[in-house]
Amino acid sequence: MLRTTLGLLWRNRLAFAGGMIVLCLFLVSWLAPVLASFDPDKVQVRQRLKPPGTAGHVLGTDSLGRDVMSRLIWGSRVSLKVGFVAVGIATLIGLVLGALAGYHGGLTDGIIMRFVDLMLCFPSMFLILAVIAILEPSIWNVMIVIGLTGWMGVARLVRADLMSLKNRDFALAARALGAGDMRIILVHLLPNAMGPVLVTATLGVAGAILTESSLSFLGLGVQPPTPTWGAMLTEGKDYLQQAWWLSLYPGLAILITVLSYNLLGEGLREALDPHNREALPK
Amino acid sequence: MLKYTATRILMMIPTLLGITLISFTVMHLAPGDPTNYVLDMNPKASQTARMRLRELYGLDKPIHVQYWNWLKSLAKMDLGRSFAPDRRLVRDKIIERLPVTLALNVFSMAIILAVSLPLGLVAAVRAGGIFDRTSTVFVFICFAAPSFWLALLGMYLFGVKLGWLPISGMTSLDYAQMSAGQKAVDLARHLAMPVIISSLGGLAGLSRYLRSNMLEIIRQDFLTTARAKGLPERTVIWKHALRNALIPVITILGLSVPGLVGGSVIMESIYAIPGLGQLFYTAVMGRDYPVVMGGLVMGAVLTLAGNLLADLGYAAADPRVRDSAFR
Repeated sequence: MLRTTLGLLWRNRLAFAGGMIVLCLFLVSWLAPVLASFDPDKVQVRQRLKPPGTAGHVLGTDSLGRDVMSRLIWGSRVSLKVGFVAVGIATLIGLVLGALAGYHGGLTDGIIMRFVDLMLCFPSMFLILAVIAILEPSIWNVMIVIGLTGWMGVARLVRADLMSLKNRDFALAARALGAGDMRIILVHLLPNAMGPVLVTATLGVAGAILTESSLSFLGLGVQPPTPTWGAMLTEGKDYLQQAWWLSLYPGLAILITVLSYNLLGEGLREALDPHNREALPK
Repeated sequence: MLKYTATRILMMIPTLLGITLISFTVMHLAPGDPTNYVLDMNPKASQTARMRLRELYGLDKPIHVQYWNWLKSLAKMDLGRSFAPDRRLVRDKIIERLPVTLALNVFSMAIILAVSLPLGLVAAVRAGGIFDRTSTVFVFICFAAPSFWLALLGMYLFGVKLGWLPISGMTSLDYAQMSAGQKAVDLARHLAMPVIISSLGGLAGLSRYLRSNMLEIIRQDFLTTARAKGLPERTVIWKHALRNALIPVITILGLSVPGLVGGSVIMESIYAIPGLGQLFYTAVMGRDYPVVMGGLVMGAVLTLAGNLLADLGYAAADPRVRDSAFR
């Protein structure tokens, strides 16, 4: 199964490119201390607002003379961290609530699904902003709040899958052999429902990165001086006329990252779709 | 029709209650209490003043009593007074800004529809072709580009460099002296950029959905039947298939309401447009709890209204639902 999935992914060139860029981004944020040629927080007043290409500053410097390239490289760590932790939280909540609802059905299902419907009523940006305003903006609060407002899709998927899986022969066999609810859910049912969850999670990382950058742009995300792409754009906004590079590059970084995760996620979706599986030569 | 609509509206009541419960809970996550933010600004505030203020806002009562009181006043459309220095009614603040946000979102939705319908349909009919592939890449890029970044680039290009469009506000300074025609042009010039940019992100969802939906329908038996009885391919696609593909679009449009309303926070604060989103953002920054709470409820109510409209539209458009719902 893994081979077919990888094979289909390889055939979808866009998805493959997305996957490669995601890998590169991992490398970049891991190797940030080596790759960044300047200290991202080092203020050099005499070097302020230098255009790209001056004195080793490949992408120029910002209003405090900090190297834009180095800040972008270090900023990739923040978006990566926020993306994965937020999606981890969302996926965990979605798995637990979705499994409970799908497996037990009845009243449990009714209550959980009404709660899902309620959460979907709120424009998530409103909910996130309100909570952040109360809890004080910080990287942890941003990750937690994005996670807490993003689990509904996973819950719905898992619930639907478990509802059909729990009556299949293999699940009934496990029950007949005396396996408990917990064991049936964790060992027998959930692994069979992970494909769509993986797709949702991959697309979720893209969404979380986008949300984090919007929050940082609004000044309610990760706080300065930590370099984040969203906050870099906020600083760039004030120098729109003198220093276009401050507004261009961080946005490009967000665009490329989010696009890659989306392409990878869509590719995974296609690769995991049984309709397409038959098309691949054996 | 009337009965169906009435049932749908009645069914919204438990959801509305749930929305108020979540909003109330969120606002009471706050460590300390809201009076801190009013009084911290004022070093002369005494302990008695604090107590008086707590009493005024009902914060001295147990939490379920507070919720009940808030619900009672909410039923009377009373959302309390803003903490901001103007101390105005939250209801008035929201009502005067609501039309702006509604207009922005209705225009954005119109653009999303006008662009993504042809995009998705042509992509499906010529699946795998050059148009399909380029339009796929295009909508994915639009979806991935942060709207605030596009807004900045737009301001730089069309506002600063080319000088074609104003970069902030909703009207020019001399708006009051303009004739009706000039006013319309002025508004359109101010809203063009925010509306277009906020619609770009929504293109991907709708056009991709329409494309896959159309591909699914093209494979169905009733289309083979239509072809078999000798209908030209044009009629088969643009009549039989299109009608079936368009109906679910109504639901997708309803689902896109929360995203658009949420996005208005960013668009309105960048372009300094006095709408609900900007009000909410200012309230969040100033910890103006009554306004934040009102905005939260209002945002959810807008979503509910969008869903209701979508349900009614769906019922009206799909004969299978229409026959059972509107008898």
